Amino acid sequence: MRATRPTTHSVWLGVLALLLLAAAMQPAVEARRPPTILENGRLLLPSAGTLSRLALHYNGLLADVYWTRAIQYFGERHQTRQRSFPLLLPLLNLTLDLDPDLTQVAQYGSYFLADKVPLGAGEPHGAIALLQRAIARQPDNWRLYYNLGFVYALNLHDRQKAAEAFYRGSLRPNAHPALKVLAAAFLQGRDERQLARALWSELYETSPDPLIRANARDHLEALQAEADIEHWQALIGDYARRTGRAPADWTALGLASPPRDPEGRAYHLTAGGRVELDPATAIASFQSH
Amino acid sequence: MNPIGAVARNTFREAIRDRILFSLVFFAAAMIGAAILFTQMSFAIDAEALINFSLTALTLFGIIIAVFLGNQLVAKEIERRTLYTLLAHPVRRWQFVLGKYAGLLLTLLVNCGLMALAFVLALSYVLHGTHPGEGNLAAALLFIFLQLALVTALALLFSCFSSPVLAAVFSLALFLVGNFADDLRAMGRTTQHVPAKLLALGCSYLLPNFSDLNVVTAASHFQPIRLSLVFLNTGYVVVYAGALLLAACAILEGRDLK
Repeated sequence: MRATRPTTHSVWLGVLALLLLAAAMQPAVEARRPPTILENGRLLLPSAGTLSRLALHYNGLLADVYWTRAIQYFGERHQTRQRSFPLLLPLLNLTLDLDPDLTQVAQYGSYFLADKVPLGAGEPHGAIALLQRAIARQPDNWRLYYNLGFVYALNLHDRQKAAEAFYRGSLRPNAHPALKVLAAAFLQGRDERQLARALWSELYETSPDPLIRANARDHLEALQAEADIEHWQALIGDYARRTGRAPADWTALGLASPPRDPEGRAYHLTAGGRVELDPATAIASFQSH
Repeated sequence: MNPIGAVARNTFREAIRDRILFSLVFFAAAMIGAAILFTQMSFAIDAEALINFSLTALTLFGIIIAVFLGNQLVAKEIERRTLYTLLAHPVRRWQFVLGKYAGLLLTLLVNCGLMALAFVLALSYVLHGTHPGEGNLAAALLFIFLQLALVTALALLFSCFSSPVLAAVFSLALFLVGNFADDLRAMGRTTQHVPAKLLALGCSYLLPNFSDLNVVTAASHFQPIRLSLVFLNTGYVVVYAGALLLAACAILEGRDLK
């Protein structure tokens, strides 16, 4: 028994060494293999029916996998700063084909689809079509009308259709009371930024998902920065009218230190009297919403 | 003691001694655990993903257990010649078949119970408590058990006249075809070729229909399952499994075991 022990250990060490060698070879193999179908910008199996049969009709499981694939596809391209998302809409449509009751696909997918490039895919009409499919399936789900109004309001700037969507949503059972307020606000013609703030605040307060809340917070901070810059620009304008020149620095406006954006970075005052965000801030990419 | 009960008890006792069985149950529980990890990679579908993964794993592992225990039920007894000893006692062949089936169903019930327990615990972890529609999952679990009962009956039938390997192949093949019963029926309705139409429609009604027993996707949304469907599906499995068991009894009765 004792004599066989070192041999057994050597065998297991050999197994481990071979496994490590196989793992080390993988990057070299991956660098040489042809690109996968998804990387080529096409879907291998665009038919939900065929996919469903291949998976013995466990459609829900398949839809979950495709939804996760859509999220990862968006996340990967977003992280690598690619500016197009050609597979996002087909992946989301396929997921909804597989499981029409998985309305999270439309609810959350519409944010990624509709937002402008590079924050999203810049496909607000695709987002609306997706949401309308989900609404046809679950006509009493008030959240879907909220998302529809959201896309009309912030991505297509169509106040009438946004108000209509919020109003239709407000009539659904258990609808959030804010929907009626939003519908009225859009019909009253309140200023775009106020409306955008109301929408993002509503999303920030009601969404249970930390990623959506973080996205809403970023947009709210960008709106706050826009308002701050407008405020300081107005004061600088007054100063220039009174003195005939732009302020040299913030102290000329009576401030001991430069004002700070919602991220805590100081606003820059240019020689020409323009207020700008710190180039390092992430706020700029969320602006104009 | 009732001969059916005695055979069932022995079958159950023998089955639970099988280590492979518990490795499969453990593996299914591990899959349920892995589903929790999957929810971390996805977004906004925690409960749906967990339910879909777990119930699918529960079905597929349950089917593997049912086939690989069911296919040996009779064949192994004949091979080992233990059946002769058993039949020397006052046990009729049909009693032996029913006892074997009952014992295996009991084994599957215990296994499913263990896997379902792991699933319920994982679900409470993901939901941080309970969901008002959680009761609707009971129907999905029942339907999974009904699928296993049907596959066991198939495996038992094939086990009466073929080798364990062939019995496993036949049972798994019928499980796969039975999942396409709806597609087969749709094909039959669409085709204009009369013999093909009759064959497709005939097969779709005569082969065991597993697609009607798959409500996993609806369960993942906590959708209620109609009580009438529960009764009809249960009735269907009782009738179909009854037919298979009757055939198994007839085959074994007619077999020359000398």
